[in-house]
Amino acid sequence: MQIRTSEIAGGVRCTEILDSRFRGCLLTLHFALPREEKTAPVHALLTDLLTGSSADYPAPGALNEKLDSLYAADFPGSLTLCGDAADLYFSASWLDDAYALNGEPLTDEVLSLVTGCLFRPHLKDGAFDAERFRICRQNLLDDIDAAVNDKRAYALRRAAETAFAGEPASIPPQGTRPFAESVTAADCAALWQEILRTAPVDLIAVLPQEKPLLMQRLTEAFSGIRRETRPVSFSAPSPPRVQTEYRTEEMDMIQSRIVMTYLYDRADRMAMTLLCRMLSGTGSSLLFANVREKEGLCYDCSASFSAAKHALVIECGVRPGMEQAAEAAIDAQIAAVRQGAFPAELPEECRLAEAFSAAAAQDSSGGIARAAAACHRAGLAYDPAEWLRQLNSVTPAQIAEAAGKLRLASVFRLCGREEGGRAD
Amino acid sequence: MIITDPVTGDSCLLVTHESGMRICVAEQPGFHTASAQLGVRFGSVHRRFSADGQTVTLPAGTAHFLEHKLYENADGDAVTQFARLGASDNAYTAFDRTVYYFSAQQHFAEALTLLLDFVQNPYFTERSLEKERPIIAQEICEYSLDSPDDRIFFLLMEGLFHRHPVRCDVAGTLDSIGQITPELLYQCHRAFYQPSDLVLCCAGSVTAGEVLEIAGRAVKRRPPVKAVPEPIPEPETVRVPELREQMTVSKPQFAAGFKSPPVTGEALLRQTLLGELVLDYIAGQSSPFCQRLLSEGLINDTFSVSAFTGESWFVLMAEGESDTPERVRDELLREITLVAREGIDPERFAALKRAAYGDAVLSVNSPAASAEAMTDALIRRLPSPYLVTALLPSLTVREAETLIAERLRPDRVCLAVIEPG
Repeated sequence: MQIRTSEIAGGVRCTEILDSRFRGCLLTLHFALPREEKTAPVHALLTDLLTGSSADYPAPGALNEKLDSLYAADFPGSLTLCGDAADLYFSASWLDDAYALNGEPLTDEVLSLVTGCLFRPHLKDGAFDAERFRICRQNLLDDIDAAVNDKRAYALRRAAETAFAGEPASIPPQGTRPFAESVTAADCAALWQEILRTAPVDLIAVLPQEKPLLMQRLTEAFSGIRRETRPVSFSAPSPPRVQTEYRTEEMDMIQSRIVMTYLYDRADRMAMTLLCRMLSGTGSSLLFANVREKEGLCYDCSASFSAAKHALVIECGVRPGMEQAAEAAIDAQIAAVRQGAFPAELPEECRLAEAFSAAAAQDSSGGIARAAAACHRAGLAYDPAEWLRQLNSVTPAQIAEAAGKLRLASVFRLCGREEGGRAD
Repeated sequence: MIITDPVTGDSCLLVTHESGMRICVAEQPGFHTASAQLGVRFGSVHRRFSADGQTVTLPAGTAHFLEHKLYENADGDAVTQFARLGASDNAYTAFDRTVYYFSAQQHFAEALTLLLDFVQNPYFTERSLEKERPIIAQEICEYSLDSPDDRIFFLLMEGLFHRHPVRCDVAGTLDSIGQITPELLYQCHRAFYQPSDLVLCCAGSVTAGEVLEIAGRAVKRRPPVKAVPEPIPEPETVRVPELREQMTVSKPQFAAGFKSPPVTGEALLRQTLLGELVLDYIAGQSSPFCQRLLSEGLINDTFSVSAFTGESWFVLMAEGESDTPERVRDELLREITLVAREGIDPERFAALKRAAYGDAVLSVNSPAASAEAMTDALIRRLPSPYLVTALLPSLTVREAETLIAERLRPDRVCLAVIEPG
């Protein structure tokens, strides 16, 4: 694997990763954006508006038809929330030219299509095409309303609103309905032009071989824009809380869900990574082994952490009526780690598991691109060897110390009905 | 036997171990990890079988329960042992199979020995089953009862099928899992987990020699017990044309499915590929039909089409959200009639075949994906894991038109709807 990084325009960094194991090419284009209630629905709309048509392919379905003809090339847009910022990204993937059955120049065609969509969108009088905008906005409104369908995602979203109240991280991923309803096609076009001009841009290409055309096309595309980059930080630690906030909501469902958010002030990132793995993510992990297997309180119980918000989140699906028992059992696991009361072999198992995850990520082009993007968001260079060295330097005492810094900031309970559920 | 994919140059070694176990290995030396999958043709639809002159009827969810409990042995559980090796393990039960798998960067040999050991050596007690029941009950609640995405699928199956167990959730029900006993699990293990029923597929940074050497040591030779799953009698008609239920959802969710006679072996793969192409042609994202319905607000971007097929069922379906699901179904039926009358445009069909080819070449490009593709082929008793790229060029417009006439019949459709409630 060869890694090459260059700046192709002001605030536009391009990382090319060459790896001959892969048969496909992957190009991800990341735009770092501050999150605000007003612009959140616009960001969500842009993922759709910019990937469904372009000035070159204005007719409904024409762009999809073109992608089909290019051997299922793909060009979705997406939004990742990181701290108080958002990563609006587009991901183009296509078969390497070597596998085209009739010698079609796939790279050339896909790059034309991608640069066309992003730099020559389907606009009319300074606004996105009205019909396309109407459909995309309706999809967005349906998505916002559908938050209630996926109980797990809904609980996580409501927990974030509770834990980070007043901070941009509490804004729902797609924004709120009132703001989504008031957005216009012209707002979206104007914000996109501003993003092209001001957002820090991170381009990551994972390619089976050299593709000089890629750099050439991307450089050309950005050369037409007068860039004035506005820095965006993905790190925004949440301030400490005086007391734990509890919020309960009821829903007509069979299972209850709880989400516990712990905050910490300063902690070693790698120690927190291993702590998170010790709590969930392997068969010996404390939440799996104790809360699920020993106490039988739940089916799933998992931990994740946001280095950007200095937050560790634990979520769990439990029988109605058992919420508080599960919360106590979860909290007891954190307390145990604080006191160093965990199996001696667990840190080493978790280190092996983390090392495996990193190795597995390097075995797919998508994994490499995701890992590289995550490093860049954290302000680090993508360097798997250095990452491994840091992982190996963490001691069990540092993990216990990291657990000692956790303070329970909020508990969100989404409670189902207690009668035990429906049986066929 | 070495099998090679002429398109990608991928190859694998396929051997039958003296115990009868089929083993397939794809060496991929450039990769950092290796993956192994151990699969068996015992899934949720296998609810009646005869073995040793006895007919056994199983409660719904037995195969899934067995999968959960196999991880436990007298010395502890395999999950913990995999964790100690730094291997990432898991298992799943599907309608027609159960698969146990892991990926590892280090200690692959120890992890493979462990995989072969715990799958072949069951240890069930009443106490351990009692402990597992509430965990599986929570799994059923989470995935089956509280998830509209899962529920709409099974609602459709309940509408389409009269008796076929594909209409039951893989994990069973809160009642049925209470009927499973250690004796029943042992009986199923004896019947379906014979070495000759198992397939082992490995890919990545591992050699065929290493895998065969471990298998030589770890695979048990057992006196054969032949389990014969009983045929599943199922009428060709749909059970009911429409089925409705209420849940906490923002707007009605629907699934419209077309039931048609099942096929097996290579014909199943061919018909499934054709079914997917035809659905994409008629109602896929690039189709004029899909674009028109989006424009008219009848569907939103959750709309999708898919083929759900196995050796004893064949369903082509469309699903999504709509305020008027009946109208979407009627529009779909009208579109099918139109395409059947006007015929398929060869150029668009060729473009969709190219897309399917691109998907096939790109999707199997990692150790985990390769092991999964090989397991799927062996479980389906296909001669090669590389059949998709070989079959696609041979699919014709005429076959696609025949499929429309035979498998998208208006009298074989069911509409399932989950309404906000």
